Amino acid sequence: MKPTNNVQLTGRNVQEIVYFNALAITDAANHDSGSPPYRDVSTIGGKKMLIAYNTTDQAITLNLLTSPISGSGALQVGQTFSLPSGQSKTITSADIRELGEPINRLGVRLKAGVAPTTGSVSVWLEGVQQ
Amino acid sequence: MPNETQQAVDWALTQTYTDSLGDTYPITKDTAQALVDAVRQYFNEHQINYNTFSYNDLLPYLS
Repeated sequence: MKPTNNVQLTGRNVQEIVYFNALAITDAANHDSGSPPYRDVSTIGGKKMLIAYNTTDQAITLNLLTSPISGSGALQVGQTFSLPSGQSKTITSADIRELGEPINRLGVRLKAGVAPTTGSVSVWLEGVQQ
Repeated sequence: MPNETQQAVDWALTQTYTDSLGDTYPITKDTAQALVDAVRQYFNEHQINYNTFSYNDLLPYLS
């Protein structure tokens, strides 16, 4: 019997969600990823990874946000992560446990301890679409 | 955005940037973070006051 080539590839797509695209922070205030800050991440199953690139001259703290079930305000989830000046970082569930948990909506809050005078910050999330 | 933003963007687009691997590339409208950083550098060097901004704020100056 002649062999046939009937192999089908049914791969899954990596999804990318941009939270901050080169935000040049000039103060020490909170900066949320929009208003409301949340993006729908319900289509990303399992582990998620944040990638952040901080070219500013100051360290920046990063917090994950979600919306409370009451629908009002923002709710911080997980621990604070520090982005050193002039460095790129990958942030996984090893750093913030909640990145490995199922969740519907995620946002990001950035804050500089001291107002940066140069550079910017980019943050995006990657995960495998269900 | 400051009145000088168009000049800052035009200047930034003539500059280069060096990535984290040490390779140097020209700044274009598609190199968002390098473009924003260069625009901020222009503002600083020309003592232009500005508030927090992002790549999206520069889009009207890139058409």
